Amino acid sequence: MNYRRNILSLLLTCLALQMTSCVTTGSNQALNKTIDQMIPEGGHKQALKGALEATRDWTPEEEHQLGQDMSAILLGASPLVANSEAQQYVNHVGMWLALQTEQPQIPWRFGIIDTPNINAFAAPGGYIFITRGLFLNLSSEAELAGVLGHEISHVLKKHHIQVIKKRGAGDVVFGLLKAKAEKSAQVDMTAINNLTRNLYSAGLDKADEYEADRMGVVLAARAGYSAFGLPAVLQMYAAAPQDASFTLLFATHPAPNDRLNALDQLMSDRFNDLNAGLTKFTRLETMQRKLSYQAPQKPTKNSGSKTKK
Amino acid sequence: MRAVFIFFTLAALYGNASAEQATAIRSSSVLTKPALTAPAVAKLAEGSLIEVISHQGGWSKIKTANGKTGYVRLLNLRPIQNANKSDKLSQLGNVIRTGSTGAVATTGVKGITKEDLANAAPNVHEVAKMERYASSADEAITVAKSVKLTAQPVVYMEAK
Repeated sequence: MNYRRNILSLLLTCLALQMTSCVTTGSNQALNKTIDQMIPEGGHKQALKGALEATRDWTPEEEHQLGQDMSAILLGASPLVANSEAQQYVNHVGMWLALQTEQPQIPWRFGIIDTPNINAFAAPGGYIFITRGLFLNLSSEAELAGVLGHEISHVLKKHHIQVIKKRGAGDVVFGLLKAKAEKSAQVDMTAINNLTRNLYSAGLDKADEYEADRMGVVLAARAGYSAFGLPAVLQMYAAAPQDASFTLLFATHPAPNDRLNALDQLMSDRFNDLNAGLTKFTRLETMQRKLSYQAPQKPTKNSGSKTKK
Repeated sequence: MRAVFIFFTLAALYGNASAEQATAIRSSSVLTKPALTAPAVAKLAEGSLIEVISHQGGWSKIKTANGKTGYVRLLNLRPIQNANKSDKLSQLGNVIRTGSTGAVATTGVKGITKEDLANAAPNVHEVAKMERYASSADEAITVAKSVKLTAQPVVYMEAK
């Protein structure tokens, strides 16, 4: 009995050590096989396999599922603007930007959230949101492209998932996503919902925001827009007063002028054609008029019939 | 009536973009046109205070303290936080959040603040709605072409 227990703990230690190296080499499959062969059936085996699973990169489907759950919280706070034309418009611009990335195959979904607060959000698996308040404050489509490019970059770099893993919640979230995918029975999503509320209130790592700025500028330029759309939005933020509309944005991002300084350093010897991508897009203004608070829109009867692929 | 009041309050605030003050972070020439080869109308010393009129690509149209109007690089400017709008907008914030004026309903205008997030119940129906508005790649390409957008080769920038 003692002998068996010692062997087991020795094996567990070896496996634990091996797991750390396997995570980087990606040989989880081989390790799984080892567990199957060497560990007797029972709780240890399941726990080990579970822990091993959580360390692997999440599949696109798992990321998408998490993105759906996280988006449900955002849209629970404020729903989508009920205007199908404007929603389709941001999807056209957003998808065009996404096509310039290394992951165009992600099911990218864009939405305007019905709140005057000024902000934009992303969720894993391709969910991107801009608030009505920010949408109405944009001066050009290049600015919209810069904002969406920044959010797209958070998805590309899996910033939300990294924060979740850094907080030690990776295993729990992963377990719930798996359970949800496998079982038809209702899974208690309280943990993911709380984590989501917390994550959007606290924001991502500051370094992630700077990275998304650097990438967002490039994505807008790749899509044929001026690279200076995002810097112009940051100028608008920097000039804005500390008030209710901006509170969450300012609480979760580096100071606008710090972001401008970071971009200034990198952009000063790039994008020297300051007039590149200087097209006037009247369609943004058209959509802004539709969403303007000045003229409350009539409820749309749209059934989405024009949204055919 | 109440909803109308909110809409007009918001409209007044959003429609009235008051001029933005900024500081020049490096000395530069103020050009007559948004082009590097354009003649200068004035010189801006580092630290000068100017008024931003608008942005256009990598350019900002500005007005100097002496009343000269022209163009400088957008990234040569750092805005100064606008104190004027603050009162109005925070009033608006109060109206939206608490209905503190007593005459305004808080329903109908939602926010995404920490409090809103803390109280948010998941809305899966709204997430499902997003599928309806989604664009296919082909559709996005067609639309981009129709407004004469063309893809450009641009490499990512590494942090310095």
